[in-house]
Amino acid sequence: MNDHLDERADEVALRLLPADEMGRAEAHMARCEACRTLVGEYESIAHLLLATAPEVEPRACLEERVMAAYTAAVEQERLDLARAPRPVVASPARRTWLRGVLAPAPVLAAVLVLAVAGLVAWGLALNNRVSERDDTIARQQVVLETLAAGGSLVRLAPADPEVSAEMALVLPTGGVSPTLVVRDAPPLPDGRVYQVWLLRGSTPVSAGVFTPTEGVQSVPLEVNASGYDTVALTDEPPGGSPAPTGQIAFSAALQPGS
Amino acid sequence: MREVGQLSDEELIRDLGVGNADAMGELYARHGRPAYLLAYTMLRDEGVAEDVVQDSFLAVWRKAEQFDAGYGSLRTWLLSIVRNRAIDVIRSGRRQRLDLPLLDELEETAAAGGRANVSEQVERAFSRKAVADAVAGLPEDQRRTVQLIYFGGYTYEEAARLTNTPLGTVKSRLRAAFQKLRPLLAEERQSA
Repeated sequence: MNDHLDERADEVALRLLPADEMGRAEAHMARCEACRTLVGEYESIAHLLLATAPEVEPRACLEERVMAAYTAAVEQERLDLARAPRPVVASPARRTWLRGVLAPAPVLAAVLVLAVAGLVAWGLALNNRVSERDDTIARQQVVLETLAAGGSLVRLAPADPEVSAEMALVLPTGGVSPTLVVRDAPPLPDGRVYQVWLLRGSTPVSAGVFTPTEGVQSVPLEVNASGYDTVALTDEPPGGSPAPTGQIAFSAALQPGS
Repeated sequence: MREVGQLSDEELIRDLGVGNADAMGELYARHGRPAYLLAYTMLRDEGVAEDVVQDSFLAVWRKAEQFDAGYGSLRTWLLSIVRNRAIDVIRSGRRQRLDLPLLDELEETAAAGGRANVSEQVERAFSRKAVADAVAGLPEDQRRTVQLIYFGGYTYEEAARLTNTPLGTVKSRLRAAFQKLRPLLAEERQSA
């Protein structure tokens, strides 16, 4: 059977086929260089149409957002690799990147020491700050126990680099019952809340809302974080919104399988 | 050691993969504007378009090892990621699609080809005037079909319903438009 895409290259390039046919076409392209090249050519032709779009400039803050998200994602990957080094099967390009992170061994040891020290210090800081509220203490203990049990920590980067607040998502193994830990979240106008979103691709799911206060807050999230690739916070009206309406204030990439 | 601004697409991707923030800055400097232009034109919402662009640049980093310059430029690869993610947003119902009146706006821009409101970056990379002339030179039915599908993220069936045109006619219009635009590709590759 001829699976070549000669007659459908334009449809594949423009994603015009139903999902199951797209899946078959992509599987074929993975093993057929000629079809991969042909579809790539049609994609290039399609993108020429961009020259007919009305001019519009991105806001300056978009570059900052992209850079902050990239920095946070790279930092998180390094932290994860340092905390749980394990054999990794990867393509040559990825192995090159892993070599940069994992070797030489003294660097790995230093990263591990720093990571552990950072977690311990962060945990101690959390304990110091929650002494006045029993319920908060209980939540922080859950956070520390989660980390001690092998959970992971994802630090969120502020969209505005001038913001000094710290936020981190504590993910138990399997992503069940994640907790957002917040220190000195920027205040919002009366009635406004921060809404936490978990995203798979570009599709957001609300994971909870909270009103910022001074000091440390622990916010148990309502959604299992497993399978999501991004966590983000937006400023929303009282009670939250069905979909994000405000600008992203903090965000971080999540690792698959978190 | 060379500055990131002098790196080829493949070298830039390699540096991006090892966590070089300068490489991401250079990637954005080269392709941030066309990426946003595509996302915004498809989604017509500043915030959602920004989300898609941010998401797409992170996807380039995550999929860095999949990039192969032999099958297209880094720009094409990134724009395809942006378009696919914008389509995901559209098909999830979060954004209204490009509609027929907005096509008129696109046509006006095409007709204006090469004027001062044209992005310098897009013009440089895509030989905009030649492209705009070629698109403007397409028969109207072909032009509207290809723009509707490319910017609106419509399937054949949806485009056929929207334009009240038989499905086979929509397919043949798209195919004919692609064949007429194909010679421009060599020019784009020369200028990229």
